[in-house]
Amino acid sequence: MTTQFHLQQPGGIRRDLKILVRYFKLNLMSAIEFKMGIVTLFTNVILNLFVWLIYWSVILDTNGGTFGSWGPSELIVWYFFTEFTIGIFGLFTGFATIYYYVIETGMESLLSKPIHPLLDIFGREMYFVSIFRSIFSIVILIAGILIFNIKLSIYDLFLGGILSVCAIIIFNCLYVIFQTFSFWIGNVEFLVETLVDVEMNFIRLPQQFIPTTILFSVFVVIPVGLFATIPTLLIFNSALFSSLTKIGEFGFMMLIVMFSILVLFVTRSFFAFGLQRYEGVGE
Amino acid sequence: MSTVRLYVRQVKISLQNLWVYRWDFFGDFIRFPITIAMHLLIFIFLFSDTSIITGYTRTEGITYILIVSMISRSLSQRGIANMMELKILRGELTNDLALPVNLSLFNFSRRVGYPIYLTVISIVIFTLSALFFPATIILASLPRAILTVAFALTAMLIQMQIYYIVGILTFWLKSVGFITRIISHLQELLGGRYFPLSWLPVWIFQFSIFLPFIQMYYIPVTIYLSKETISLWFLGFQMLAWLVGLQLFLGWLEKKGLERFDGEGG
Repeated sequence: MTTQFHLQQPGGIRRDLKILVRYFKLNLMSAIEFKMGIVTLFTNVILNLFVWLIYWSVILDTNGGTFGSWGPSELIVWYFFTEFTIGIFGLFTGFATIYYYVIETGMESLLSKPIHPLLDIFGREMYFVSIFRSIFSIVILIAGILIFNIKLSIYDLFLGGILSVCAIIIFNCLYVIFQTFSFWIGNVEFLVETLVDVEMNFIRLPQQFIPTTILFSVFVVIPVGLFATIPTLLIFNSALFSSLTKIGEFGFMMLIVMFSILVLFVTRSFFAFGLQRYEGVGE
Repeated sequence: MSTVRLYVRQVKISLQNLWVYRWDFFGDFIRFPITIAMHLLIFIFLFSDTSIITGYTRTEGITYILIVSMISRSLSQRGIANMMELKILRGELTNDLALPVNLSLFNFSRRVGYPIYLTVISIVIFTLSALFFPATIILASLPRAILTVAFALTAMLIQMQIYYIVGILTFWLKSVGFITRIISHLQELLGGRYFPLSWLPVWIFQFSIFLPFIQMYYIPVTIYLSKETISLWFLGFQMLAWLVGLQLFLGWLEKKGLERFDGEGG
């Protein structure tokens, strides 16, 4: 026998938060229990930094000490934004697995809970130790500021940070939208992997050397530059930034924030629409 | 069923799996350019103001990064470590042990299909790129191209052996994820994934000569570009020596590890 599901009305915000805090505690306890996970993450982060340092020192050496007008200071700040964002992004790994729940009829277990299914997936699949990656990136930024005497204001970091957070929201929404198609076409692994490829290949390399006009056009379609490249541009080249966007850096930030909120609502509605097609198994 | 047929069957199954997930099959045509785009753009940018960097002309440099990106995308075998880790932890190795096969070769044969398919895509995309952009990409002679593919595929076997060894370390360790990552980073840096090894500081280049990672990307591409500094025979011998040496070590380690294995049974 099959049953059609409709999205339940989510519980109050307080109840959702309570459940999420429980998941958070559970993830923290698992991270402490499974120490190998922390060792793995730190090994990865340290090696990333080592390879990154060698990579960019070679690139700068072969290119007269700069890379498309960026020197060590810009690259350090860009590295900070990249790693910080990847660290936060790690908390949302669950959003890359939604289609499993759909094609393997695992949605029932989520729908029977008094919390929105997307929040439930976020909570239960959270890769908690990833947050250490963000903490490590702050340490590297402080070291970079001391070594290269980088001049950064709290306001700059705030603006850049907000843009990175918006990038995380937009990309996670894209993950959810892509996977909502699984209610119609089943396995959407191909779409998810393509998005992962875009994210991973573009986020790890700065895109500022691409001509700015092309750069901004591309970012409208694929907002991957919001993760790290645009925040860094905003800090070190705000004049160019303002002349390109015409609305100033604060205006640009507000625009992106509003766009992220809009994407969030569209995603939620689209997921609810897709869920109406879900056919679970029952007795 | 003879042992050889068992291996062949595994290869066939891995190829058939490609057709089961057809979207994945076609998706690779989209994902391939994405994977190589950024590294390629960086190289094009680096050569925009200069025509030669540490012995590499613009066309050589761009050809280098294009081939290396393709090899890296097509022949990656990192997944073997994870596969073996899960099999050992879940006791699923029992199924393989019941068969009259060599354990490592049997597991390797399961992972051949997808790389073969991706290699074909690589060759098609590369040939088309070279034909459409003859001033940017070097099209080598046919014997050189065949030799490059042969070296790259042999390097894939070495990669399989290395990650298999990492995987069977699960007999002693609870998790081998961090070792896989260390090996993966070393492979990319010391194998020449990011740029020709001659661009790296001399001490790193000299260090890389004594490790198997140099076989992964650097050697096949230098053969393609006719930039090898020692004879092809020696390079071939060196690669075979790594292959045989790693297989012997792997066999020994596997035997020791199996003594510690607790399988599933009833």
